Amino acid sequence: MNNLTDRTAAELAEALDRREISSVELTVACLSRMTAEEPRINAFITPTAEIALRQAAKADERRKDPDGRTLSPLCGIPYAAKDNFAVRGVPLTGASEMLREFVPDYSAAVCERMEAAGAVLLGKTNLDEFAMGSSCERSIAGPTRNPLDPERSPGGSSGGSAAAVASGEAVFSVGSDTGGSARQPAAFCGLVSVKPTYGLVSRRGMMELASSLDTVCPIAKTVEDCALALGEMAGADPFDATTFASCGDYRAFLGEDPRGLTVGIAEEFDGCDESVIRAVKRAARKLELLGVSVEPVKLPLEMALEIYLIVASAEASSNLARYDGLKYGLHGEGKIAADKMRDARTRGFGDEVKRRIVTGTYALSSSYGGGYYRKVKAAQQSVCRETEEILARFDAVLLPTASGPAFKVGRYADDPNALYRSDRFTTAANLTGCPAIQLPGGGDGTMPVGISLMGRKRSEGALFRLAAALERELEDDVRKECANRGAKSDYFGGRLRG
Amino acid sequence: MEQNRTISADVCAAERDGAAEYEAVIGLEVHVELKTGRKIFCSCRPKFGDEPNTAVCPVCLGMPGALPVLSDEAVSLAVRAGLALGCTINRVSWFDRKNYYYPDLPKGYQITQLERPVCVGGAVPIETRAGKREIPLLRIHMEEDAGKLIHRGDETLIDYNRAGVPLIEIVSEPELRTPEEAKAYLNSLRRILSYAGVSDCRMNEGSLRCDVNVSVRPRGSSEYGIKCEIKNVNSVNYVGRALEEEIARQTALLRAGEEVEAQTRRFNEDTGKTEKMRVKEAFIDYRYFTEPNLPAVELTDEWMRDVKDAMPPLPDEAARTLTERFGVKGENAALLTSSVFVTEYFTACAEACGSDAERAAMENLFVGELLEGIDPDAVGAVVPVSPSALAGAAGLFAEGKIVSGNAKKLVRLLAEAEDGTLTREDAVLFAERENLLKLADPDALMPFVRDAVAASPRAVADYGRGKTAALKQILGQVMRATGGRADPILAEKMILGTVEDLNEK
Repeated sequence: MNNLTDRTAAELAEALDRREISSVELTVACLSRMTAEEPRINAFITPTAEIALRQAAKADERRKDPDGRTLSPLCGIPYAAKDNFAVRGVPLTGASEMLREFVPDYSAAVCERMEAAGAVLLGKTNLDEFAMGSSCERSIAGPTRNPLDPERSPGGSSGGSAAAVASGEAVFSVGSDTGGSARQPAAFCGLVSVKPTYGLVSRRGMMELASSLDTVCPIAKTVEDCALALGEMAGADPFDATTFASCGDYRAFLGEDPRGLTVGIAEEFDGCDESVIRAVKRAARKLELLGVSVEPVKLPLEMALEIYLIVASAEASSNLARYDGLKYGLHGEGKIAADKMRDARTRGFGDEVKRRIVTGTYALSSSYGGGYYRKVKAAQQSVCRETEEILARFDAVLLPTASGPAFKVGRYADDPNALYRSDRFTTAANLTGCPAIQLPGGGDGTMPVGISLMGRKRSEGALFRLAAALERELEDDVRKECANRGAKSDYFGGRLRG
Repeated sequence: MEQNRTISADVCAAERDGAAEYEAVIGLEVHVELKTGRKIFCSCRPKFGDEPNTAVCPVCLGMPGALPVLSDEAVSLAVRAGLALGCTINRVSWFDRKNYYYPDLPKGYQITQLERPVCVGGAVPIETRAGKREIPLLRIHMEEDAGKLIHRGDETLIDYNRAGVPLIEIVSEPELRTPEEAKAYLNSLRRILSYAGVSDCRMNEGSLRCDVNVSVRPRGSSEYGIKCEIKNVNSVNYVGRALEEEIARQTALLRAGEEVEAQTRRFNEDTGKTEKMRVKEAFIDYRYFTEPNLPAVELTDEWMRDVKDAMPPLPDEAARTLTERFGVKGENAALLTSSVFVTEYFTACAEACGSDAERAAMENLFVGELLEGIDPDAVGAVVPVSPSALAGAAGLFAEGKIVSGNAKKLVRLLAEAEDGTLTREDAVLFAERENLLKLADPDALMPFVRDAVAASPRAVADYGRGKTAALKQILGQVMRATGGRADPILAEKMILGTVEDLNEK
């Protein structure tokens, strides 16, 4: 089989099932693609070839002799994990100088589940330091480049995870999303990503950014692959007190006719590229043609972004306090503990991390603005209420994922505020804990643009149903409008056959 | 007003120092380690004396991505403490983050309860020479302990075994007025919490720690003075001494017309003085916010019922049981319920007794000879005398075979043997071997009687003249000569016979 690694997980699972290929063969293909692509893309911080080959051999064994156990379709499928998920014995850097040398002796829940399913870990992918950023360039490993156009950013912070899939290095990947960090890179790389309801996937072992907003997300080429991966990742974890039970296999929703569903269209295109506006409007039209009733709505997106920036910084300032240079990670120099801490944090954190720690500390300070943070949390509640009321009227709301296609690497290096604003379509889902799915909606002629469907809490089923239908309907348009994506490889909506 | 004032030792001391025009306002913050065996947010099980940093895991070390999960047992013990102290239990409470940097704090924040603690209100009953009183509580909240800094020369080591150990902080209203009351409060709190099975309450091991807040104001004033906090005082007696010192210091300042500076102080156990650690900042910004990783703690009716059902008998109830079962009365009932260990030990001894008289004798020996030596702080406290040996000693007294003083001596000897397996028979053997039993054999007693009578011609003559009391003097000599062992009734009878024989001749 040619272009083995450009195929979808679902296709490869079938091929593995039929013994047309082995997991070792597939893994070697991915590792070769990594060797070829990494100099150009830089998607990985730590490749784990040895682990991958070992796990692949084990997966082949399991497929030969399942020993009475039900095999996961992911058994033997190579994947990549963002380097803010712990894997026992593998460096966990968070792309930070602070943790350059840190090797955890525990694994993240999602990586444990992937291992239990038999998925093969290819390596740990690049991100913005501590997942703070939307461009995947503020990293000790340097910037990751968009496989569709290396001049451009893959988005961030899960840029490495998206780039690894878009370049065909990994079949799918795991990213994290605190304000759009998985959906926006998926949009920039022409991929699909689901930001699940807060609590559906365990955060245990995922480096904390903003604990009340952090989610774990699959990034893949198709809606089906995302459903497949989410099914394996989701479910209650006794060691993450915020988790709840999953409803099972999300692939069951993919074939369901969306006729009769209702979708709100968030026509808030302020500052959006023409390609994005066209994509959203076209998707709305396609939904109508499918028998879905559509209706314009207005979501409090601007307010959500403002609140998000404060809450995310506040929680991050507290979460990052553990990096004190005393216990693990960068060792602080100095005579007394305060000096050691100051030294480690001065040298260990990059500018953006420091900026957010300062902002967050200031926001939490009770001397600032007389209960400032309390007011922010009250405003969050009212935004959540308003959003939930809107979502209650619909099965989903359609909106852009980002205001345009992938921007050039370095474009926002000196303008953090403009970069923050690029998250304005995605943060509402995190702030409210609601699920959202990103899928390619079209393109500007060369690069893809993304559209998102956001729904009520625990409405992943409806989102998958709508997203799968849209993916089928938009396939040709996306192909036409994304020259780079077509040129790069042949993956399209899982339609690749033969 | 003046004449109503209670005369306690402390007030006397204050008057002696000429400071009676001032009074102290004292509030205590007591941290109690919950007896869950495991940490509050992970399953590490540290034990006192473990090698440093052996009872640790990614959660309590604050490693990236490690998440807290609340121990249900910790909540049930916190609620139990609240029920035992008559608090209102908040059916919904939650945890907050208290952010500050300190080397012993692995995450850079402590998970505690600020806004909605698990218990509010309640009171600690105290009894002092001034009488009984209830000291109201402000709140009880749950939190995690920090690690421990070990200073060695010019380096400091950190032991994180204690990090994450479940604590409750019990905050009193500033209603205590004297060191004596503060000590009574701590003893009462300790007694109730150890009974409720909430904590070992061992101050020497740090499972009960006390921060003392104290200010002084003119007597009769309703405003509070400027307070100082004395951190981490680690015995009840030190709390008393620290308070006496601090009240005297603050009073002297006020009398000299100076201001008390708000300070954090420590008690120096060697000098018996309090020392300034730092000036108390008017306001420390802990940047509190709700802990996002832990859902609110919601207590259902069923859960509450289970906690109430599991509540062991509290001291007052245990005292009633001792009265009903063993006839223990008054002050002894309180003394014998000072700790679970004492009550259980006493109950075993009482059960080993064969008769009410024996039990009564045992009670006196227990309270008089053993109680003071029992240290409720001791790890794995062992009984000083086995219940059956103690019953044996009490039995000898009840049967009139040993005089009171020697019965006490026998108990002391049994305790010195440090042998928990001694039996009732061993007690008798000890008494015989040490010549502690009464001389109740006329043949054995006769030589002492003869010698005493012979040595007292004057008393014999007095008796002849009708002064019967003269015989008491001879009895005294017999008792002295026998080391108190002579059966006084038999000896007196024999003295009478001998003297009368003499006088008839």
